[in-house]
Amino acid sequence: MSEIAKDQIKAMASAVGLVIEEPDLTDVYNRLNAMLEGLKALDKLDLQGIEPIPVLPAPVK
Amino acid sequence: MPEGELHFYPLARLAGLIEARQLSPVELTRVYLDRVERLNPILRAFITMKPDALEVARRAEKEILAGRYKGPLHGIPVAVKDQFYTAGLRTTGGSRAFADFVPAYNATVVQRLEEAGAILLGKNNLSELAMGGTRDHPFGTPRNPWNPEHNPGESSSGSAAAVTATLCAAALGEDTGGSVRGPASFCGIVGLRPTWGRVSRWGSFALSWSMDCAGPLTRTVEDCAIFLGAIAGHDPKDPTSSPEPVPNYRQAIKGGIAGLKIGLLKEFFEADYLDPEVRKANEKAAGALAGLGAHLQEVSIPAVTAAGAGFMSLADAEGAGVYFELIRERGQALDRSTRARLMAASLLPASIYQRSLRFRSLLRQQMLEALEQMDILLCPTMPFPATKIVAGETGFQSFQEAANRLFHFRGYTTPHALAGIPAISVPCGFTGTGLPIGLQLAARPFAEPVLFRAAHAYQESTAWHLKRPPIS
Repeated sequence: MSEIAKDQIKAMASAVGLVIEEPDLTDVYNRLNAMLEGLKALDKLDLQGIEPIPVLPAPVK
Repeated sequence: MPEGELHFYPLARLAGLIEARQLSPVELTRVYLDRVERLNPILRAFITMKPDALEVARRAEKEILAGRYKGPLHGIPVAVKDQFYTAGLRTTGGSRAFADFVPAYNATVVQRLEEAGAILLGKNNLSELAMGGTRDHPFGTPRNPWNPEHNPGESSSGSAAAVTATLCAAALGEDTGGSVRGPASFCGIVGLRPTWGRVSRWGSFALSWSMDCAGPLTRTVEDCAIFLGAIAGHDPKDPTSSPEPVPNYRQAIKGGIAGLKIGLLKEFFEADYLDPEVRKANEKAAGALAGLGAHLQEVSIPAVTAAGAGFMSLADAEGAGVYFELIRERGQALDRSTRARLMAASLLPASIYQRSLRFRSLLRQQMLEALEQMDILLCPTMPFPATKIVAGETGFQSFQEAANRLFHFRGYTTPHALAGIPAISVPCGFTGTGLPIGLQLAARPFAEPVLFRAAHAYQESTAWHLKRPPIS
């Protein structure tokens, strides 16, 4: 996923009822794009065929 | 009363003296309360003290003298991270937004500590909502007893500082992605993240329902084993808590580690951002374990390098779900960093969240496969020693800087959280500037006894845990 611009962030926020103004907007921009940047590492992994299980129950011995 | 500085005694030794009626829980509680009064203005380890602590200590003393000794926590003064609900005692979550919140009931873990006879001294400071990255701590900035210009770690910062400076015998923290182990490493004490489901999550400020995990902070591994024994076990109020029986962890520390197979996590020892002194101390610790009879082998788990980012996308998205109404209706009550983190996470596309869930399954599979071959996985707890407290920090200048700082900080402790496996941090040395370094050991789900055995054998062969910080 490519970088999300500040005006796009404002629009996304508005859609869920959040109002984001400066200086929060710059903070959110940096954090959200940092997350997307970091998650690019997952592109290198073969995740097809793996179920997105929401809970990992601890196995009982 | 025995001679010497009681507050430095390990919990296990204090328990022995109390059981033998050679030490009064009332006197011991007074010792710690005096220390809190003297040192908390510097360390900011506590937010709220429990006003009836001495009264509870008197009750414990009467019970013990009457022959009703409950076990090794009876009469022992402890502290609890202010994330866990305490009936009638305010629980702030380290946030202005909850500065006046007084729960009507105890968290299950608090209840279990009280039932074991522990004396709750007070509530420990923390990063806001147990998230880490707080810029402006509303109840004072927690400081590291080894050097007050440095952080004691995140987010169980006050709990770690309190145990390190001997303001209590032990403390309860919470580890979503390293919030017990990181502070333990930065402060040179022992910190455990138990198997997910081993300890109840009921009655606390949540960050990530799928990874939050209460865990002890202590000065010795034996103390940690005693503490876990008191809080572990199934809780009908928490559907994710496990029915797995609770073994006697204290007994499990004995027996040595001859023949134990220990895998050194290749990706973390080779990371270019690993501090050379941390690498050296951990390699030396691995050598010491080999000297005690363990078999060492390098192990590769490729997925761990993406753990920091994968973890944050899951934990933050779950946190945003928990606090969405708060950020929408009262966001200004939050620290600027917490607010931005929750806002950003609330905008994370669902497709990204789903991909991170797939990643978690893959990582868990790779870690469990490695643990089929190995008894223990070894790596540094944190890739660097305690960071400096930066006054008036204004945040990230770019998202590239944010990515580096956020994911490196959490990189070494998040794989275990994602996989739901137990991991412990044990002190393994100091930097040239006198800051502690942590060694991290991890094991299969519910293999805490193996973890304790290895960590105890190592600790008994060293003297790192006996060093005293300048502020104590």
